[in-house]
Amino acid sequence: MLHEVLLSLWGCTTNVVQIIDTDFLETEKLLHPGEQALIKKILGIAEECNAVRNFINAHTSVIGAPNDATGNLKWGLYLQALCDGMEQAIQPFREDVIELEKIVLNDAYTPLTFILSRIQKYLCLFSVLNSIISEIRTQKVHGCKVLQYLHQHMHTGVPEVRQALEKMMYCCHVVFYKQLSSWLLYGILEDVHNEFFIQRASKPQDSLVLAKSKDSSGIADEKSSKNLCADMWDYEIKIHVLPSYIRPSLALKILTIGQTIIMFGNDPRQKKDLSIFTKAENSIWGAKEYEHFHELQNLKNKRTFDIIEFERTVDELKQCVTEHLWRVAVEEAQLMHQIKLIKDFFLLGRGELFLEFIRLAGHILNKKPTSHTTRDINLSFQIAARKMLLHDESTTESFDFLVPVPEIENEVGEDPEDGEFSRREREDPIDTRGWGLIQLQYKVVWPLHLLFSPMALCDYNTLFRFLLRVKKTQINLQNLWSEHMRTKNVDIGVMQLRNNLMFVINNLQYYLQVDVLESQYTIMENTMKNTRNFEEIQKGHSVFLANIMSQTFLFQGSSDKVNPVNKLIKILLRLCDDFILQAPMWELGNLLVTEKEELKALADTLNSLMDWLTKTLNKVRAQPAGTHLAQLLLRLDFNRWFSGKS
Amino acid sequence: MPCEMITLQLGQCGNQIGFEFWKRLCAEHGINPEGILEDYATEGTDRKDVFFYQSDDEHYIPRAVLLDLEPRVIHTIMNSPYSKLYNPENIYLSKHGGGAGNNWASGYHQGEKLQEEIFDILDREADGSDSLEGFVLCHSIAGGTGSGMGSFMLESLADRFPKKLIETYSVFPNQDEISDVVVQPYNSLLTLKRLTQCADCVVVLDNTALNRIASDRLHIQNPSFTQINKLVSTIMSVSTTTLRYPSYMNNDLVGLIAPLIPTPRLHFLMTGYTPLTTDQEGASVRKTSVLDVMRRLLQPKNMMVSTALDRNAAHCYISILNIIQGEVDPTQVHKSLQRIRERKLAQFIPWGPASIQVALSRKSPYIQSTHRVSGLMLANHTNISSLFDRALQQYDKLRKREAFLEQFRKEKMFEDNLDELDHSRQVVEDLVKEYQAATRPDYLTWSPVKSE
Repeated sequence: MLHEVLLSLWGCTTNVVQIIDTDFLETEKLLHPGEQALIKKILGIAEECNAVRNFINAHTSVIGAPNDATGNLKWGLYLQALCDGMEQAIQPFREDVIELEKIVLNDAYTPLTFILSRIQKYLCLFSVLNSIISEIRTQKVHGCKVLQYLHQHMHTGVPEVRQALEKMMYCCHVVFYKQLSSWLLYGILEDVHNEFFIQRASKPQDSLVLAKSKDSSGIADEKSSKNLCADMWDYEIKIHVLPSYIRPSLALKILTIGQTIIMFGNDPRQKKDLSIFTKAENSIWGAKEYEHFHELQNLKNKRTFDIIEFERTVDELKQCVTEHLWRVAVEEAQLMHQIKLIKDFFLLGRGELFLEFIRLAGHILNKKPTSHTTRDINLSFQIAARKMLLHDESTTESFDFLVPVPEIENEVGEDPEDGEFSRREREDPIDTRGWGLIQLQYKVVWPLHLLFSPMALCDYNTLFRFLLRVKKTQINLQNLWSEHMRTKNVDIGVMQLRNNLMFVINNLQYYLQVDVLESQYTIMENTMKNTRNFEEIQKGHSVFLANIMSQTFLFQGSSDKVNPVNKLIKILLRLCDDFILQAPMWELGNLLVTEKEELKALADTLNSLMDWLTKTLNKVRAQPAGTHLAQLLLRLDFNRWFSGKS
Repeated sequence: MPCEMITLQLGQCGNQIGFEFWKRLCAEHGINPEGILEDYATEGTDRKDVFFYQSDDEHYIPRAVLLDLEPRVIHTIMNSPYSKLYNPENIYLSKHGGGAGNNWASGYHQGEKLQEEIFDILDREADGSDSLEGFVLCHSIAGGTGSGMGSFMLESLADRFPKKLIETYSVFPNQDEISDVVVQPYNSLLTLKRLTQCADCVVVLDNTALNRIASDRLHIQNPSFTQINKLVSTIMSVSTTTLRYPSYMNNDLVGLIAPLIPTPRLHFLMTGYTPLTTDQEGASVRKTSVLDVMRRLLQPKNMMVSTALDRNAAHCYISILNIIQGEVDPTQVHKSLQRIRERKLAQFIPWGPASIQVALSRKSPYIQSTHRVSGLMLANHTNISSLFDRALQQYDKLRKREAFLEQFRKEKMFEDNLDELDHSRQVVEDLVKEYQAATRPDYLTWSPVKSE
C-alpha cells in the first residue's frame, strides 16, 4: 500500500484512488479513516505534480510535434527550457520520493504522516507551477515572454518556490542569453521559432537608400547581400514578447546594437570579397569580442538575473558600438564633409551654384515635366557645376535630380465645397510644374544612411524645393529691378510694389538662411564636434532637421492642417509670380487704366497678406515656442512699415 | 564662369586705387604678384574667376582695363612687382601722354577719340567671359581723366552694354584742403550727372572722410595716398566678398545692390568699415562681436562719407547691407538686430519697408587678422545729398564769377554754349531734391517736375 502511494507520487497510474473510493468496506478493514484522509491528501499532491509532469512531457518531445500533443501552445525553445527548468524544479521532490522508498523498504511500518510531512512542502511549489502553466496556457504565451510570467512569480517568501523558480529562470535565460549574445555580438537572430523580442519586420520598410547603393554596386553583390545579411531596417522590437522587466528603452538599445552590427556587415567596401565578411564583424569588437562574450557568459552563469548588471553590460556594448560607429562615420565617411554637402546642396549653401542652375534650368522647370525633363535638369546642373568650377567630381556625382512626371489626374468635377473658387484655381499652378516636383537625390555614403534616412532626405527635399522657389522668385524680382533701372522712367507704383516684394522675399531669405539654417547648423556642428558618440550625432542631426523643418514652417504633422504662416508665405510667393508675369507686359512709363487696376489689385493683396502675416506672427510670437516667429517678424517689419500700415 | 566683372581703372586716382584693389585681391586669393597661384592656395572654393581669368599657362590675369592719359601712375604699376600680373594688352596709355590737364571736357573728348581702341579691349574682355554681369569703374570725379573720360565711358558703356550693370567706385575730392585743381567743382558736377544717369550703383569714397578717418581714427598725421588707398582697397574688396566667397546669398552684383536701391536715381551708397587699424597698431585689439560691429557701423565717425548736418530734413537710411566677416555666431545676428531696433540706432525711411540686411561672409584664409569679426556697411542714406549739395554750392560760387570757363570753351561740347553745365546742375539739383524728398512720407508722389 505504501508503495502504491509512492508510485503514484512518482507519477505512475496506480489504483490507490480506486481502492479508497470504491472498496469502501475493504479499506475500512485495512485503513483507519484518518489514514484514508492522509492518503487522499498525498494523492492530491501527486495530482498537482502530475499536472506539472504532463505539461513537461507534452512539451519536451524533441521532435516537437507542433500541433497534436502540445495542444494550442506553439513550440519553442523557451517553452522547452521552461520544461527543463520545471523538471529541475521538481527534482528535489523526486529525490525525496526515492528517499521515502528507501525508508519504506527498511521500515514497512512507516506512517503515512511521515510521507505526507516529507512531501507536503512541495504542494506550494506545485500550485505555483500549475498557476504558471495555466497562465501560459490561457495566454498562449510564446517566446521570451515566458520570462515575464516566471518573473512575476519570483517575488515570493517561500524558499523552496524561489529556488525552484530561480532554476527555471536560469534555464530560460540560457536560451535568452544565447539569442542575445548572437544578436549583440554578431547581429544574427538565432531564432527559428520567432521567440526573441527582436524580430524581422514582417514587411520590410522601403529602403530607398540602401536599394540605391545596391543598384550601383551591381547585381551580383545585391544577391549576396540579400542572402547574407539583411537590411538593418528590417528588424524591430516586438513589444508584446518583451519581458516587462526589460524596459523598452533598454530593448531599443539592444536593437540598435544589433542593427549597427548588421549595418557593418553590409559595409559596401567589404562586399567585394565575401571572405572578408567575417572579418568585418570582428572589426567592430576587435580583440574585445572575447571579452564581451565572456561578460555575457558571466551574466548568463549568474544564478539570478541582475537587471542592473545586465543594463550596464548592454550600455558598455552600446558605447563600444557607437564609438566605433563614430569612428567610421566621422573619420572614414567624413561625416562633417557630408553634412556640409547636404547644407551646400539641399539647403542652397552654394548660392552661386544654384543661381547659375536656376538661370540655366529655370525655363525647363517652368513647364510641366515630361519624360526628358529629368535629363535636361541634370544636364543643366552639370553645366552649372562645371561653370562654378566644382573640380571635385565626387561632389557633384553624389547629387542628381529627378523630376517625376505627374500622373494625369482624373478630371474630377468642381469641388462642391468651394463655391467661389474651384480647386484648380486655389492650387498653386507651380505645384504641378518642375519647380514643385523637382527632387534632389543624394547618394548617401555608407554608413551615413543612419542619419540620412529616406525620411530625412524627404524632408530635405521639401526644404530644397521651398528654398529653391524662394531663390528663384528673388532672382526674378532682381531681374525685374535691372530692367526697371534701365527703363528709368518707371511708374513709381510699380517700383514700390517691386521694392516691397523684393524686401519681403529678401528678408524671408535672410531669415531662412541666417536665422534658421545657419544658426541651427552651427548648433548641430558644435554638438557633433564635441562628441565621440554616434548617438549624440544622430540626436544632434534629428534635432537640427526637426528645428529647421518647423522654423521654416514646412513641418507637416500628422494632421492635414497646413501651417498658417506657410500658407501665407505660399500665397506671397504666388503673388510674386503673378507680379513677375504681369509687370513686364505693362507700359511702364505710363500705365494703362487696366494695368493700373492690376497693379492696385496686386498691391492690395500684398498689403492684406502682410497685414495677416504680421498679425499672425504677432499673436503667437509671445509663446515660448514662438521665438523664431519673432525673428521673422523682426526681419519683415524692422521699421514697422507693415504693422504700422493697418 | 558666370557673373564676371570687368574692372575699368581710369586716370591717376582710378589706377592707384585699382592697383591697391588688385594687390588686395591677389593676397586674398593666394595669387602671387606674377599671377601664379601659391601652393597653399590651390584648394579652396573661392571664386577667383569673377575678377580673374586664367591664361593658357595657368596664370591668373585680372579682368582689368587700365586707362590713363598720362603715363606716371601706370609706369609706377609697370615698375612694381605686379607688372606681370596684368594683361599688357589691357593697359592703354594715350600716345601723346599729355593727360587731360585736370579738365573734364578734355578728358571727355579724348575718350571720345580713343573709344574705338578702348572698346576693342572691352569687347575682347567681354567676349572672353562666360556671362559678364557688369563693369566696375574706378575713378575720381575731380580730375580730368577719371572724371571726363570716366563720364564718357559711363555713357558709352550704358549705351553699348545696355544689359550689363555698371558699378562705380568714385572718389570725391577732399574738402578740407585746397585743391590744386581749380576747376574741380565743374569736373565734379559734370561727372555727377553721368553717375546719376548712367551708373547703376555708385559707391562714394569721400576723400574728406577718408582723410579724417586716417588722422582721427588711425592717428596718421598727413596720411599718404597709399594709406588712404589701402582703406579704399579694403572697402572695395570687402564689398565684393560675397561675390568671391560664395555663400547662400548675394552671390551676384544684382543681388547685392538691388535690395539697396529702391528707385533708379537713389543709387549712391555710403560705406563704413570697422574695426579700423593700421599695420603698426595691431596691439590694441578691441573686443569684437556681431553686435559690436553692427553698432559701430552705424556711428557716423566710421562712415567713409563726410556729411554735413542738414537741419531741414530728418535724414534717414533707405537701406542698409552689412557684410560681416569672421567667426560669427549666426544666432547673434538676430539679437543684434533686435538691440539696434530697441535702441533706435538707425532711422529708416517713412515710405516703405526697410531693415538692416546682414550678409555673413567668409574671410580669406590667407590673410591673418587680429580681429575676430569685421564688418562693412553699404548704406543708402539720404544725407549723402549734402555731399552733392556741397558740390552744387562750390559750383555756383565758381559759376557766378564765370571763373576758369575758358578752358572748357576750348572743347567742342562747350564751344557754343554752356548748356551742358546748366543741365548737369539741374540733374544734380534734382538728385539732391529727390534725396530730400525721400526723407518724407510722401516721396512716392514726388516728382522732379512738381518740385520746381
